[in-house]
Amino acid sequence: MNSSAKHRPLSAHALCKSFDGTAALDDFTLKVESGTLVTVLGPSGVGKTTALRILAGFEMPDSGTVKVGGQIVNGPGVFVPPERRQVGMVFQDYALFPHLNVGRNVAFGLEASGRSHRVAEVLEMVGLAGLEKRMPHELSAGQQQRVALARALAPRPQVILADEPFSNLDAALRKRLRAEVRSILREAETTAIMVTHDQEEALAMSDRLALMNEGRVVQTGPPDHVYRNPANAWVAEFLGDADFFDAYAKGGRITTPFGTYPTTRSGPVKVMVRPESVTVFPHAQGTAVVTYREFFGHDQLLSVKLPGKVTLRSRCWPQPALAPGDRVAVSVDGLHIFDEPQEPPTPPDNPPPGAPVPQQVVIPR
Amino acid sequence: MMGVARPVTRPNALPPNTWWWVLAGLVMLPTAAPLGTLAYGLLSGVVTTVPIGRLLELAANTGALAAAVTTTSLMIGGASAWLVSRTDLPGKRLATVLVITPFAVPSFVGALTLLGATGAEGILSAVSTWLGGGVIRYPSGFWAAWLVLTLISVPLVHLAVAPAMHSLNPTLEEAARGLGAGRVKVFWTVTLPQLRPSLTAGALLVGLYTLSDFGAVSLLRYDTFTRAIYLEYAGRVDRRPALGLAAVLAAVAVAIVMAERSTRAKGVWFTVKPRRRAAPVRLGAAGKIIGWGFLGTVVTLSLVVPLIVLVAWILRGMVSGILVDMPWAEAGRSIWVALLTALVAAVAVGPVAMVTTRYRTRWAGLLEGGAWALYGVPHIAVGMAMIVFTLWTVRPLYQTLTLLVGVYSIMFLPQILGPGRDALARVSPSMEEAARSLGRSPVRTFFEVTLPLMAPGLLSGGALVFLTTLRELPATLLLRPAGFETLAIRVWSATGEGFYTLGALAGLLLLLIAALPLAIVTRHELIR
Repeated sequence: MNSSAKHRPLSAHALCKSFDGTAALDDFTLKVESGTLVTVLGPSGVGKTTALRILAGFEMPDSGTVKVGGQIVNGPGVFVPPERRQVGMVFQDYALFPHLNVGRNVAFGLEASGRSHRVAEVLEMVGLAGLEKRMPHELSAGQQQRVALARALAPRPQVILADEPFSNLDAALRKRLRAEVRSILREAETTAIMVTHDQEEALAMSDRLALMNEGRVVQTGPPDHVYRNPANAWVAEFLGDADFFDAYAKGGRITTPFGTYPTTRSGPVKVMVRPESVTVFPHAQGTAVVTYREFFGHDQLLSVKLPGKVTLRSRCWPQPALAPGDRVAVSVDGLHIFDEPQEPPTPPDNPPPGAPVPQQVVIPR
Repeated sequence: MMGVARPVTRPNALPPNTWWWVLAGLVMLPTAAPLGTLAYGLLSGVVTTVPIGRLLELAANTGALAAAVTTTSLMIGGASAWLVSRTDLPGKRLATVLVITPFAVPSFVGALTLLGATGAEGILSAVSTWLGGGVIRYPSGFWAAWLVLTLISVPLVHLAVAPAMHSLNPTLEEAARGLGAGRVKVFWTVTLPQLRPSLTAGALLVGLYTLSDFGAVSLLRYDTFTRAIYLEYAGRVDRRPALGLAAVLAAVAVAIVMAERSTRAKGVWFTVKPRRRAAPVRLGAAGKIIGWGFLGTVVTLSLVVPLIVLVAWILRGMVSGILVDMPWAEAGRSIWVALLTALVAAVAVGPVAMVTTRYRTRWAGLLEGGAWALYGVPHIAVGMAMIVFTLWTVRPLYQTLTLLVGVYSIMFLPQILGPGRDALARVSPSMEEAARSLGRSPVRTFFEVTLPLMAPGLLSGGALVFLTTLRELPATLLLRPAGFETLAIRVWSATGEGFYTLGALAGLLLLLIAALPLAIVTRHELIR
């Protein structure tokens, strides 16, 4: 294997694919560095699974290129079938062969020499040593998942692809397994691409995120970077709680109901504030009013209405205990300014202009 | 380690499913031959070679028999289904097995036992004489055919109705009682409507079976369509009247099949899955005796008497030394041709199951519809159509084993298509994709993953095809190569000529050979 292949085990360029005239992928581009876990994150029906299936060779793109280990596997006039791609796949339903025991499932992709040694090795790695003789139906869901992972890892593929690997598990098992799977992939020094619609899962597990919307990757980067610097309002909204309002930047500053901030932009802008950067203080002369409170024990979520039809949420310590109607002062620790007013994401908790009375029940997301 | 990726240049690469479509189309293409020939027979004026009076007479005879057999078998099968599914009758499992088993008796064997039991030498005649009565004359015509076909059809009704009775939702009846309806009113207004879909299905199955039967009506000399077709075929050089009759019969049968399918679609009521079963009806001691007495009578007539008659004729033959040759050659041919058919059907069903399970398009529906349409056509009509078709187009195929096995395979394909599709539906496409990404080619994936997972379904479907082929009479009679005598034909011809010992020997052998596949099929049904 040459060094460039080592460096970039998989890349996809400008993939397009439509089904019956409906575009599933539209200029999908993704580069994956060796040894990283990349999560493709996006809402349902956005083309994530189609992308993964094209990378695996189960679907043919209408156009675009896929390279595995530096070699073109999809391109003009080129199609390498899945069995010659060196790409491992972990399926949503695990797809374990029900007629083969665990050992033979894991050995399925291996050549005869050294097979049993490698089977024992990967089963050890996923914590299922000694279960070779069990049949898939005799395993718990979590064990089946790990067998599926072991089976994909066994032939040492260039990349492992995983399609919503945790969606069939209950919440508690999901949390435990995702930590385990992450460390297994680390230990195996494997490059992996995982597809999910679960933000928490994506943020917690991946080295890099690739946010996908409308058939293309809209932003990539380490999870905390993407969270803090969303490329647009959609990313901000999808990746966590966010409140938006329109403002106008002039003379290097932008004026908001809670203070003035420096900016390099000018003209109409869209301002995004995350609830965890909003702090509220009880203040008799405060310009803001609490409209809603949800108590979680370890913290609370407040909805406050500011002058200028701006509503923000604040995720803060459960003290002081504020109630709807209380006057408060608001301090915002950081805000994000998008160039121009985007299509308004209209979070459902932004009451329509001129509607609001303090006691109105608003349901936060 | 996997091999290094070797790019394959496929500028206009076929999507991977195209080959399945091509294969499925090739498999189903031959169904067009009998269906097309019969359609030609119906639409081209060939029918007019049959006098209209004769057509009406046959229609009346056939219709009367079908109506009578359906009515009586519904009553008997409905009662037996009620006894085993809704009462506290002891020994229900045994009762079920005993009631269902006569299904394995081909109608020509049923006719043989009726003829063999009566007449100057029959056992029943002997018993009757001993009791002071006279010899029972050979029965023939309507009543004889009605008796034999009813006894054989009871299992069909029982199998269709018992599951529905078993899963009746007791809360509906209780709700009706709570609203003030009495037992009788509840039965007519609540219970019976819930059973109507299964009763209809059972009735149509029996009607179709009676319509199609050749063995019993020909041996018992009752003048229906099937017998008339054979007589026209055997007695004339002109094939047109026989084809015309076959076309009319086929049209009626297809109409019944379509009626059955549409009632099945409408018969799906919205119903809540019962949370509990109804408490079984307490029969009491007298009721239990009457219940078993009823079942015992049915089983005696349909199972015990036939076996006794067969064995008695064999013993008589052995004692008198008439019995010279065992029908080993016939048995060998029967097994060989049935195995071959099961194998061909199992191979042929793969692409059809694949296409109709994985790609639910209009074309898949057409393929499946063609298979079922042919399945509903009486075998004698298919046989007649294929004689005419081969004589007109591919004469070298006429009266060859290839043609016989081919016709069997397409006629019985639905029997293996059902289990095959069930099995395939349990193979998730992701399993095949997993095999691909672990380095297997499409072909190896099919043989290493898909086929092993389909195998149990193919085995039980194949067993059913084997069983059906073994018992098939009319198509075999028309299409077999000259001198190709199977057990079924031996039973039929020996009985027709009055050689009951020969017929009994072949008939018993046939039942014994059928036992193993029958066990495989029922095991599959029970598991499901």
